[in-house]
Amino acid sequence: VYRREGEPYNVVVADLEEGFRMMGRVEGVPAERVEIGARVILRVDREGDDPVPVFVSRDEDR
Amino acid sequence: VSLRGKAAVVGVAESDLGEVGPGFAPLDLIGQATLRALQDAGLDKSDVDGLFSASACYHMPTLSVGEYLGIRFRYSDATSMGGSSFVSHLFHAAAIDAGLCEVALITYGSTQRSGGGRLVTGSEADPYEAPYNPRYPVSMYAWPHPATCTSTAPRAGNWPRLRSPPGNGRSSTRRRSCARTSPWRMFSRMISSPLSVRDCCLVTDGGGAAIVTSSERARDLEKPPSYLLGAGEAHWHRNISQMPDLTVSAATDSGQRAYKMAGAGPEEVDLTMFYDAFTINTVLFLEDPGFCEKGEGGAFVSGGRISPGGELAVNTSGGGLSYNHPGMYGLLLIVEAVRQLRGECGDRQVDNANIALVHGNGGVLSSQVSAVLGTENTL
Repeated sequence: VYRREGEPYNVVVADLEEGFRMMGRVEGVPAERVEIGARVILRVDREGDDPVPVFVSRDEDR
Repeated sequence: VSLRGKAAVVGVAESDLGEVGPGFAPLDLIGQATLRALQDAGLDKSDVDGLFSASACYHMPTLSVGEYLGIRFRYSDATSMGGSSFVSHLFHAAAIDAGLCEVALITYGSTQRSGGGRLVTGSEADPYEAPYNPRYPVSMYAWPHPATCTSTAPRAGNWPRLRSPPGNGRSSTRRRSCARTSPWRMFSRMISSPLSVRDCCLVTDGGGAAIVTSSERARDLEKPPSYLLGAGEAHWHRNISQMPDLTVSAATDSGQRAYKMAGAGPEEVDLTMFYDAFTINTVLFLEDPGFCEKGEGGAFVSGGRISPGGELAVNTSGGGLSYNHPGMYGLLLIVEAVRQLRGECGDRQVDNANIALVHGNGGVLSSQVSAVLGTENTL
């Protein structure tokens, strides 16, 4: 997503092995480098007081 | 229940389009379009007893429209499924066959461009999507597809250039005409990859109206009726993260339902009016209702195949991308299809147009509604 201000950022839809699908973003990868089919794992970040689930590359997690 | 040939569209009109300027409310455009459509049909306000409307501006649209027009409708349907609602209303005008009303008005208006230049939407944010800040609604359509990832423009060929400016003298809807030459994509601003600003529909003021009545009554009117041969609806999700398969829309089902009722398929269709909110829509709606195989839509829109004189007439008005997109565009699909079936389209007229597929899209590829319209020859 390209806004007039700021760097582009990614928005993804991920299929979870637990059997459902959710929106999220992949952290640590430039917006245009996120690949369809990449394997990711969920991590919970904090934005202020709110927990926000995000994804990180499975390779990076290891 | 088959509705084939039971009802017909007998009057259509646009309101003023483009940028109507300050001092107009959406209801004013609805009023304009309604009077013009009644005139087109050769009917009077007092003939109308059924109302179908949807709106992002009015919470109870049929009540607002009824009050504004000063008509005491006996049947009212405010089905709201985004931009496809009006094609759905055409389907629901089956109420005429059930005797619930006799002359139905379907209408819409928006002054979103004059009012701020942004899409007016009553759509609530999904709390499970909002934290990731997708750009609504474009990010929900920004899925990599072979046709939108290349530099060939999957637009409706050159139809927009043939489009005469709407006869209102107020404004032009062609504000993007300068950028339509290739390689326009290479220099246009990215919005939500792979969709650039040139892949997105216009943001305009506009409205329209269609008058529908029984086929029996339609035959007594001056202009040739456009008969409703078939219609079908389908929706599988509301929010994009719950779309079962991002490459297949529910237009597969809505199309088949409409074809089955109409007794006609894509091979018989002379004209298609697809709801093109974004370039990817046209590609999906060539694939899903069966004009080509899945994955072949990109090739289908290339090489002039959907340009004037090409294999298939697609979005002859110029569509939401180039002609007009007043927030919800579905009604204007019907307007153009009827004009084509009547042979009223001048230099953009499709030869021997007897069967038209009107396909509405709503929400975020969520709601799909197909309707097949035909001339007297097709009954």
